[in-house]
Amino acid sequence: MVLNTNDPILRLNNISKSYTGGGRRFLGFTQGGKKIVALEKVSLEIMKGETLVLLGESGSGKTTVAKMITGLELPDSGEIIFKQSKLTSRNRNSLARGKIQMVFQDAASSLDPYYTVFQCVSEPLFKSKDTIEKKVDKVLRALENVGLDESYLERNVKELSGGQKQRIAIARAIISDPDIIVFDEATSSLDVSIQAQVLNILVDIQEKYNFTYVFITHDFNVAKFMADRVCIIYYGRILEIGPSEIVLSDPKHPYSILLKNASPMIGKEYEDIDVMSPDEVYVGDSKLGYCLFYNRCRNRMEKCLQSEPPLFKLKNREVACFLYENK
Amino acid sequence: MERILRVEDLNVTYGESTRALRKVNFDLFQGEIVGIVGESGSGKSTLGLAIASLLALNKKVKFSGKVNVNGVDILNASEEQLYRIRGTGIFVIFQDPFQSLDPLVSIEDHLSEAYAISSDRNNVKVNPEQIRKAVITALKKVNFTNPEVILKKYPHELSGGQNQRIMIAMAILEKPKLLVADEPTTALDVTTQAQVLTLLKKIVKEEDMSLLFITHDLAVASMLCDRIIVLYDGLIQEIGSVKETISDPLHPYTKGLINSIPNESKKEGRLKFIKGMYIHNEVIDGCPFYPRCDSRKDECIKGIPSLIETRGRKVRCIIYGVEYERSDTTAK
Repeated sequence: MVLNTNDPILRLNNISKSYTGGGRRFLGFTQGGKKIVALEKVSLEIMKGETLVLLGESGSGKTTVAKMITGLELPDSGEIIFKQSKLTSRNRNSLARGKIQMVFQDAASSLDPYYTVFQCVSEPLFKSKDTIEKKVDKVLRALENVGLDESYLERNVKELSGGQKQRIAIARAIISDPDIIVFDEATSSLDVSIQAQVLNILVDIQEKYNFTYVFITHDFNVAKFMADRVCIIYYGRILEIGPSEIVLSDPKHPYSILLKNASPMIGKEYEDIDVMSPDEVYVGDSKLGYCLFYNRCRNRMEKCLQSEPPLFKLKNREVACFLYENK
Repeated sequence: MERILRVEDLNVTYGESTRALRKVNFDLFQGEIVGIVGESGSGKSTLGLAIASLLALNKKVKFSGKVNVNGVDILNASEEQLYRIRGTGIFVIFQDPFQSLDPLVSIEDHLSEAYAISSDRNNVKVNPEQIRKAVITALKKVNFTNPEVILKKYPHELSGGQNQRIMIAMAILEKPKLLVADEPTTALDVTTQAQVLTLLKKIVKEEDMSLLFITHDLAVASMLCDRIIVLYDGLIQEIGSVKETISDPLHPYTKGLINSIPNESKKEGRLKFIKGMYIHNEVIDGCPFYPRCDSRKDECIKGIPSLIETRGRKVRCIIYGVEYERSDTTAK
């Protein structure tokens, strides 16, 4: 199917997902426990060739979005549309296998330490009918793209450093020629100098192959570098979404503003930090029916308690806050 | 200003070959916040442990040099002396507060114990009401709005940021001269991190403590500290005030670190990065940064450059003068 450039390559429609936390487990059943809403009616469109950054703190549900996209877990409700066809657990294998790839935070635990680099990187090709020479060729090309050379082919993964392992994981993700790559905090455990190398590689290969990236991070500076569009999420809700140069330089939602002020930046000083802490943390109950940021918000109003703000459309972004209701 | 900490020629070696710290020299004065910045493997945590005398006492760990905290020679002190200086003299906050707090002891008991010990060492007699009052004041200082509720809780009922604030409250009660914080906010969210760091800075200035802040994040250090020490492969590469070091870094490594932090969008160009990577236990005769340095010369590997003073700062790079450390003083 040919895609128009304006068509989203992947669309999430009203995805909800909840987990059960705590409770007693017995014979595979869970008794009691609290329902934790990880995602609540999240709708997202991802365009071909763009980088969408999901920015949020721990517990915001950003990893759950990644799991939904890659099919590691199934949503409770809502649909995922990939290239205009709905993905279900049955057709996912034929439609999206190898086309949606993921790179995890901890490369060491996503690679088999006893595999050689060649085995690791060629793993996604196990079903292809390529000859071994062709596979080697493909692996070499993938390694070259991440800045590693031939000499790595026969080395064991366990001998490599963290940055090198992450490159191997990236090479493995690109070898099946995917459409979408999901990066879940892929550079957060690396030292800054290594992180800079890896981020450069990611941008280079994206330009070369026109990959679509979903980049998950909690780091404001990394988001600023990588993003075309940014989506800020908090307790399973999208609070603000729009082009990165607008959203990150001039955030509108009180939470986005707080995130920006709290992010460490060289030569800046902490000022205007909201000392209001999430002492009393909501474990997102979908039935709450009010703004989840209410107890930390400076601009809270009566209205925020009466209903949950939907995403209001502003000029070229959407913000879920009643402050922007009629603008 | 009173000098709280003096580290002289500190060398730490693990096993046969791992040189964690080499000839580290610096001072820390009262009321000052000094940041130790370095990437993984630079020896920054070892420095924190050595200062608190928490290095393992076994055959594999060898150390030499002097650490002087408030007049006590830490590395040669007896257990008895160390017992008296820990807590009220040196207080260490680690990355994971869950590991520092006892899961079976309530927050109230943690803090009461801290206060009781500190008053005992100051030969002040306190009764339970006074302890409780002090504990509640300390909790209020670390921004808990409901101290009475928090007192009844146990560490597992609180979040990471809250527990880290409990640790800071404990430090307030023990009034140490020297506070060592080893990556205290690395595991926290940015908003919580901002909160804990602002608090830490306020407390240190109010209570007139000194803080040695160990971090991998130059941005965080630049927002909190008065002075910065940059470590690479166990050697101090640069010491200077934050403002000068950030705006005009002297050492190529410091420059590289600052440039590696993303600041602009990818549309403005690629990130500047430091080439290569730090290789653990790599044998280099001379400057350990030589393989990754952009402005390297042949003189760099004739010996380890010494820490030279230029423009009121100290830097270990031959660009600023060709001088070498005497080889016998650096641990192999």
